[in-house]
Amino acid sequence: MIEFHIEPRSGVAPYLQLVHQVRQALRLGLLHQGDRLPKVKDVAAKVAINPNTVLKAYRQLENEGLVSPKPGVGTFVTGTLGDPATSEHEPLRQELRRWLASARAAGLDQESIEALFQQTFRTTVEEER
Amino acid sequence: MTAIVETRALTKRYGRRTALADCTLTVPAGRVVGLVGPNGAGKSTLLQLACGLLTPTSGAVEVFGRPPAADSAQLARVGFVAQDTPTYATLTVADHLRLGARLNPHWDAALADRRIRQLGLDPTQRAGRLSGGQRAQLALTLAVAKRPELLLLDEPVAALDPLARRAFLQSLMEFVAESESQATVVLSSHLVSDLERVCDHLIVLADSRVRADGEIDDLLATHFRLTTARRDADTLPAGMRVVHAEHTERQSTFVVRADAAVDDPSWVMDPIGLEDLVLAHLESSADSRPALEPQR
Amino acid sequence: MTWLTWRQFRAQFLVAAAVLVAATAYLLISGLDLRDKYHDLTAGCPDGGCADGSQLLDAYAFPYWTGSALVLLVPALIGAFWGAPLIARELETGTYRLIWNQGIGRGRWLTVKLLLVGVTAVTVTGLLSLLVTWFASPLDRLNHDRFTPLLFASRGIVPLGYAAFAVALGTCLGLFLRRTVAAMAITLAVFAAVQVLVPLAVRPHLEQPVHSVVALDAATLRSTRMLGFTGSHGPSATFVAGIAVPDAWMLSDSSPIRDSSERVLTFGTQPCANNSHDVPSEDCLAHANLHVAIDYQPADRYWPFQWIETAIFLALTAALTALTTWGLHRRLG
Repeated sequence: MIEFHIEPRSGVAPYLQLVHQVRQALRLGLLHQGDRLPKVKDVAAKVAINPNTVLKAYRQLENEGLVSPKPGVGTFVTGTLGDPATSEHEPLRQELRRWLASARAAGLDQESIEALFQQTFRTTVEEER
Repeated sequence: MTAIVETRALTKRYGRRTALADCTLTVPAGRVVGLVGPNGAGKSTLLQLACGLLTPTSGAVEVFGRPPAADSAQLARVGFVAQDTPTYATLTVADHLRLGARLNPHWDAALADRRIRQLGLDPTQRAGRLSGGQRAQLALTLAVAKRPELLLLDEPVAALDPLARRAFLQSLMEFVAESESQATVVLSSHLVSDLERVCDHLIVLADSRVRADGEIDDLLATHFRLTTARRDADTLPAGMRVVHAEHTERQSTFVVRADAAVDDPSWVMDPIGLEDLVLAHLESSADSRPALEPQR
Repeated sequence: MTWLTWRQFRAQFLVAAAVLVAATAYLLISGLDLRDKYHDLTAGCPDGGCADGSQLLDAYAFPYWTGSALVLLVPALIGAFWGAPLIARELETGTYRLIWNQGIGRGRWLTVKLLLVGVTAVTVTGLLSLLVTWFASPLDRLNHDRFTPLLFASRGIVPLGYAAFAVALGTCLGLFLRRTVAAMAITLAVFAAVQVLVPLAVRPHLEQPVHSVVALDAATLRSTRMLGFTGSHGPSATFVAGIAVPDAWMLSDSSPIRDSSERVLTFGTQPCANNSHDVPSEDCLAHANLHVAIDYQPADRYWPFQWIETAIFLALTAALTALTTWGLHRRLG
């Protein structure tokens, strides 16, 4: 079972934070198919968060096909998130490392690198839309 | 959406001092509503009007469609945790529970006992010797064990340390999650971060006017910070309502309300956190205040 | 609600009970002892009419006066220590915000509190009054002065009215002042003022006093409480006599002595003047055909006055309670 937390200053709606955390856990292999998500009531009491928020997050996950509720029993993980084998990650990581090295060589500091990446990432995503 | 609490032009004056002026708002059913605003905005007055501790100077307030505290049946449906969570200093924890049991028709003794056990409170302890956090928890226990349909909390965590504050909010959320037909909760606070976790609905009150009112997720999804080269607010596209504007010589920063972010190479438009969102509304109310009124 | 009121009120009640038990034990022992001595003293003369009680009164002066003072004092203390904090303490500590949001109306909350505390106050005071009245009755029979203001207020049923009034007064002041200590102080002050004002200005007029002219014969002169001149000696000093009617309430300590032509006698004009004494001899005066006019409330009005005054204080109690109820709903709202 996983534990949730809320970061109030992130600017991300609390229910989305929960959704992200479940996705993250699926990606990291902390949650598997068949696992039960914590009960709404327990999450609410533990995290000190509105139960409606938890419900909303679970509903969103359900819409994404990642979980499904069994009435009276709980909410269970039914989907998986593409976790391509690490072997596929490795060449990409190598490439990224090479790119980072050349960015440093070009005199960019850490913040500039991050800004450049974020900006490029966002515009690319938007262009693809 | 059924209204649990409804106020119309609600006004309360103490002699010459106006605590709440011309306040009109609606609290929807089944929500945890955060009431946020600066000190002196009238939050406490509003809550005390809603539970019948105060009567309006003019205007009207209705709870479940009736005047507050109209009779004992009405009183039994509303729980109230007052600011600074008063308890009887010489009475023990057990005495307080007994008091609740004797005075409330729907008293849930099992719930009260379980909560006291969970909190690790000694029933024979006098309430005067409890810590602030424990006293707040005792007051909350009294309010929730009467199984109210509406729970009003007046700055319940303002005086608590972070640990006690978290524990209090956990208890509160447990109550909300447990209540069968979901109770409506109104919680006033100036700690926006607390409200963001526990509330799903927010009412921003400043100068006793409702500045913003809505589901928190909706509010977050429709408010943005827009940073751009200096320009006037009215040059922004239609569909964007400027909540707050700040200008330097070269730059303008707006907090705007819009259905969605609008891409434009001439500006950066980012989502905004709830705290900044609330602050923007409060500052805009301060901007629009008549110049004669001194700013506190 | 009864339970809560009792729980909050327990400590004060136990103090009162302890005082009552101590007073009962002391006055009971002392009173039985007094009765033995009274029987010895009055053996053979009916109604103690022929006995001189001054010695007995001296011997029992302490229980007699402390008992009477206690009956006067207890309602005042009850008003200050029970009545004043009843609402004021809830307002001061903020607990009214807790209790007025329980499933019980504010009106019922006040009713139960006032009833329980009020009835206890009346009972405690009543028991004490009964005890002191019983203890002092032999001495009162000897002294024939139970109608005088101090003793009237500490016997019979009027203390019950005072107790109810004191509780209502303290409660009402507590509500409007919102401060326990201030309410206690003002309750004491107002109650004391009422206790001074009533015997001076109200009680004498409950019924038209009896006016009568008494001839200063030898027997009357022997039984005067005082005979002499008012103020400093000189032509302006009036020649006065104090007359006592047994068990009646004399409304003036002394009255000017007049001669047969209704002339008020002053220093120098009085008959039987001699050089060696300021006050003429009684034997001479008895033949001078003098008289005084007196005003008094006769003995048989003692119980009607007790009932009337009790009723007045109960009416005041009702008025104050109505004001408190109104204030509880209006002013705090």
